[in-house]
Amino acid sequence: MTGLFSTVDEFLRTEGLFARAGAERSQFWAQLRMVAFCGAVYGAVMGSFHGLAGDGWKQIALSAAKVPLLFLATFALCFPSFYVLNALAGLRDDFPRVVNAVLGFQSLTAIVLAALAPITELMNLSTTAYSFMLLWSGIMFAVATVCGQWKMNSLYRPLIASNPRHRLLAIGWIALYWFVGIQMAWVLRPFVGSPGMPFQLLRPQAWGNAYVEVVELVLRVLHQ
Amino acid sequence: MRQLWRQVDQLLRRQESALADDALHDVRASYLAVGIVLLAAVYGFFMGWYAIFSRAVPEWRQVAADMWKMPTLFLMTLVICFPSLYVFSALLGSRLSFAQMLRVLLAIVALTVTVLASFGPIVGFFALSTENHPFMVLLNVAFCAVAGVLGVGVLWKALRILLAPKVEAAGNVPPLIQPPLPSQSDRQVKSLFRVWILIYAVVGAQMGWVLRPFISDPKAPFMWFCGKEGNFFLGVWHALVSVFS
Repeated sequence: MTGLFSTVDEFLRTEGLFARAGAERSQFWAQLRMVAFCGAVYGAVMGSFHGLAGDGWKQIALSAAKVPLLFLATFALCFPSFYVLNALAGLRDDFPRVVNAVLGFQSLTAIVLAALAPITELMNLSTTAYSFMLLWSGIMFAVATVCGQWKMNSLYRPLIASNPRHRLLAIGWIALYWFVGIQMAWVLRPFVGSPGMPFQLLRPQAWGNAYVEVVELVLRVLHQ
Repeated sequence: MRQLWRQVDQLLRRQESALADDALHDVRASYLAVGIVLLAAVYGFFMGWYAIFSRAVPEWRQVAADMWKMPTLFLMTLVICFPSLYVFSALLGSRLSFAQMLRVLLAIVALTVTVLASFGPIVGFFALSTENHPFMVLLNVAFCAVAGVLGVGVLWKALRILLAPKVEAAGNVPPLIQPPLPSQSDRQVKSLFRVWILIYAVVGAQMGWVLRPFISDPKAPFMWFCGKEGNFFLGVWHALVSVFS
């Protein structure tokens, strides 16, 4: 436990393990652990909206599993394409560092989310409005994402300095990651758990495509 | 198998130099062909998932169909476009023999299907969660287009190296015909190659249209081939219009 905290600290300050050159492999595993743990903390808080009454613990456990899954599954799905694109661009030798840079986005996002978890818990305890909590979590994710993006940029900077092609690939990663990540978040709903609905692993009726749904929503509004 | 993987990896890592290195004399055409078939089949496998998850009764035949249609698509396109590329490059005074040119093109197609296969998991994930048929069609078209553009981009770079007059060799063997000025030949290569890319893209697209359906409509019964109607560009247009209707 203290080991994880000191790892997070080192990551935030870019010291120790994360300042060492040639330690890409252990940096990678350390980052995965951080994403899994911090994501689970925020997920648990998000799922605790209904408290512990009745089946409440189920939603907590489920959300705690879903947030890390959201990050790691998206990463795993985009990974093969990103490897091939990097190799194609002739950047195969930098790839261990590149992986740590794009994983840095997820690590910092998860850490910031975990840091914001106590505030979210306060909101949970002080409100009964489900839609407010959805919006709140949306804002928390937005804040954390901005921080993560900043971290990824700073990790990418030396790579771009060594070869400008990295800039294009970083943009490509972001495009691919968001394209898959948005759909992944859609598929993994519910994170908070609507009060009117019984507990469920996933929403069976809405196992659909986020992009199609959004455009249909817009069209419906326009046609009214 | 390991040998095959090594060759694809090598191709990925140092594409231009590998291609320019006397047109891949250390790469075997048969390995590349097998690699193309396997990697294209991997993508076809993920492509076929839509027919499994979108239907009440999973249609496994679509997976099987896609797994042989994708390799067929790429190999047939290659066979059709290869003669024109060879003739064009020979016209421009290329040093490449027929077999060497074939290896170059095989390598490019192998690169393209490698990119495509790496998109496979993403296609599989969307197939898992999407109902909308035109969306899946467009997603696959987009991925194929990205892979195609990247492959052609590498071919472009490789050909500029391969078709450039070899300066070092000129010292040993005096060339019979004076090679054209570099800038002029460069421009020729560019314009002719542009035409060839257009041919390649149109042939590839239309070949895909002939082999459809890759992503069969869940409301229609399964079929191995569709009838003769329309063309690729009309098809994409209809899909675009009907995603949201």
